[in-house]
Amino acid sequence: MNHDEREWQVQEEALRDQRLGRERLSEDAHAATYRRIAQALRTPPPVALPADFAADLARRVAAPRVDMRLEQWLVGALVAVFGIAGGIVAWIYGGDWLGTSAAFVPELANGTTLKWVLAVIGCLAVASIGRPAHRDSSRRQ
Amino acid sequence: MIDAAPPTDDDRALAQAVLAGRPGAFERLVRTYQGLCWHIIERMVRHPDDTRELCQETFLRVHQCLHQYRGESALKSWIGQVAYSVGKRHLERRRIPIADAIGADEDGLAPAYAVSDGVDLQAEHADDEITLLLHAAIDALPPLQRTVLTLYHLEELPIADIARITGLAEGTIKSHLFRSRRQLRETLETGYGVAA
Repeated sequence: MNHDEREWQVQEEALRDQRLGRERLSEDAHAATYRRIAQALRTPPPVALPADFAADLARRVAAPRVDMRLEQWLVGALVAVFGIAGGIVAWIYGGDWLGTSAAFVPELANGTTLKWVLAVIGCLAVASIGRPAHRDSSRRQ
Repeated sequence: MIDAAPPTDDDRALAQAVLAGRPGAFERLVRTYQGLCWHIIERMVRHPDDTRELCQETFLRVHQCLHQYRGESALKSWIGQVAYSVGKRHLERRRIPIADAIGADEDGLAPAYAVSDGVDLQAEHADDEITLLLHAAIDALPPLQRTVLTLYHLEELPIADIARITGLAEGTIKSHLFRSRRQLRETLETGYGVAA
């Protein structure tokens, strides 16, 4: 056993003695100092957390769950209102829109307009392909 | 004190209860481990307000990530790991070095952490005074060494669990323990003239 290993054993013995409250004479010159060190290290620093720390945290993690449920219900209700309103508007003005759209289709078929429409569709396609890759890389970070 | 402590049935039951959202379960978990969390973070950051805030952050993260706890280690060790990573990130943000390199400056405390000059080396060797000086020497150790000593001596965690918490090898933990304790011993015996 080399010097460091012997000293490690003295440190561990002092720790065990301190835990068991054993007072005994050791042959090693450093044993008493190590017992004193073990005693100091066993002294806990005062925990300065408020008395309601745990209860307060529990309330904090529970609170968003209630809010999210309410929020989700409100979003659902809002989507339903928009859907019904959209249906009513389409029922009232749908005939006019259909007529206008039908008149617009031959316009699309000619040169410049068609090119612009294709360019916009191309941009949207590129953007939608790039988005999932970007989302994955930001999740990995 | 080398082998990791195995998870208990209580650990798994408590984690399941929190995940199931059972009333009072998370509060019980916080109450059980708030002392451990405080000891780890306080030893690292040495500032009560920051420690309080980081303890909160730790338990919020525990709540958020508890589904990742697979019950392969003791819950104490898993929560300690979260607390340690929160404390470590805090120190890194503030550019505070967490540890001295092992083997550097073995003959005494690193200059940046040395006990203040106000300490009277010729003071009487009364027990209380020596204890105070010893606590000052412990406080003067780098954050990692302080934390490892606290986990081993105060929390009585095995070396394997401390290695898991800190992400360091067991040999490194053992080396930190040995050198830190020897450094404290030398500080007492030579610096303050405490007889062995």
